[in-house]
Amino acid sequence: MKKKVEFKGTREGIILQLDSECDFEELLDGLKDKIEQGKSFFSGATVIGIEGRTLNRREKEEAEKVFSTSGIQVARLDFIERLGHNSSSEKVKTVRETIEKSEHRSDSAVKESVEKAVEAPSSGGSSEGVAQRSDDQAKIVFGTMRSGRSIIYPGHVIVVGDVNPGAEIVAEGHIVVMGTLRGVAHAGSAGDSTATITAFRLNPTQLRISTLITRPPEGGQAPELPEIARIRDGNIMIEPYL
Amino acid sequence: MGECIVITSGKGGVGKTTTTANIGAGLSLRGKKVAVIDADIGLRNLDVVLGLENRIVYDLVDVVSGNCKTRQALIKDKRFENLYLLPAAQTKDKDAVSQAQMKVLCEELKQEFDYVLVDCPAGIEQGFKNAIAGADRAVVVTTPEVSAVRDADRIIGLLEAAELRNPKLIVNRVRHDMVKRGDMMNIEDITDILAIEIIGVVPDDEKIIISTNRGEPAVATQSLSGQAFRNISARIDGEEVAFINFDQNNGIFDKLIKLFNFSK
Repeated sequence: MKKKVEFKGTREGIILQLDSECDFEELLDGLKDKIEQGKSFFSGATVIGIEGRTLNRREKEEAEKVFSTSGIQVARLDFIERLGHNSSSEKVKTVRETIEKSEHRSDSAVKESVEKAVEAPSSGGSSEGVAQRSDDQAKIVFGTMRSGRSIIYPGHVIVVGDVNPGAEIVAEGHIVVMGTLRGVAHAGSAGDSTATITAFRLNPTQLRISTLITRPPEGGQAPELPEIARIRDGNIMIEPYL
Repeated sequence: MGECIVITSGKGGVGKTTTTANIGAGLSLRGKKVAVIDADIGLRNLDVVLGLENRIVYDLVDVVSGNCKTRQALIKDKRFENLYLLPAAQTKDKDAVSQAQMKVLCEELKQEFDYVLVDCPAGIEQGFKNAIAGADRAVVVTTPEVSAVRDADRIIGLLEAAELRNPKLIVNRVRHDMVKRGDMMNIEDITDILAIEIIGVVPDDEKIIISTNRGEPAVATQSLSGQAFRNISARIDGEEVAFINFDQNNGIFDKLIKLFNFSK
């Protein structure tokens, strides 16, 4: 029989997997049982979200009450959409797998990285990110992204610094570069065609928004002003950002 | 207690080995005691550039695997007082040495020498990791080519990831006539991308090729490149030296103009 409530451990904390077919009272009972079974094991851990169904405010409060006596912290009980479960982010998955493979990571690490994004040994040449997607989540990267560095993130990405040739950003949301963008940027990677790419100097190797790919014209010199790229009439257009 | 500096580039053929030999010789000319280590196991050539290939008995792999004492493997340079070479093994490969062994070796040499320079192999694999393992500082060599700058960028990222902060940059083989015509990346373009401190610009100079083939570092010769390497050595040694102005032309006409300008 399928369990009503499962605890899924991730690097960031516990994600509750709820059976979407049960009603809330059943889930609450399942939750109580689950906590009772693994009280000592889960003590000190933090719940960072749920999967399978959403909870309304009243349900959240009740669930929090259950947790309050258990020693398990509750950070959020919001619905989490994870990479790999979402078919529209299939492409990101592939990109990520390719990158991970090119970095000679072991197969298991590749598999894991599909499940949850990998924060690999600092900046060397690796993908970074976390697994949750919430609409207004953004990752801020400080410093220059050098060749070989890759950031794949299921939200917006802001780089405070330059993005050099050979570096790559793949974001499901918008991309903002507070510096010169010389590498590859892919905004709206899960199919969001309203995503934009903005940079103080937009001089990329390649721009991708949603499923469109474009490259700068041969021999063209990028103007010395902030620009924004977005999809207009089925094409990626670059306009001065004012 | 000395300092261990790794000289690296990512891309091959940009002049790491020549730079290592010349900075080593340059520092020894300044009265420092210097050891240069060739970490390019299997493809050694620092010995050739220094003209010491026929004096090798023991090598780096012999030292780390305990076949000989470090002192036995160090070869004293024939021209430069205080310059010693620890050659690479030619018949082994990069896996013959581990990062931990390199660390121990660099620590040991730092006790005795003012500067320990490590000539890093091209690439970012095991050989690179070994070479940077014991280093306190890093010098990145590049040439004004897009590919070399791209690789240097990657290397700087890897160095920072390995906690080697603030690497310094040397731009090698610059042709100022081409830069002037706009046919070659200028120094500003390069520092714009790499965003690290530059400690030297070495002009493309056929004297370098001649001296390298003869096994005599150019740093001791009266050439523009020799001067550039002397300046770099001084900067590494903590002295502030002005950059050479390569715009100088040696024609009489130019000299006259210069005089004229000067007198104004």
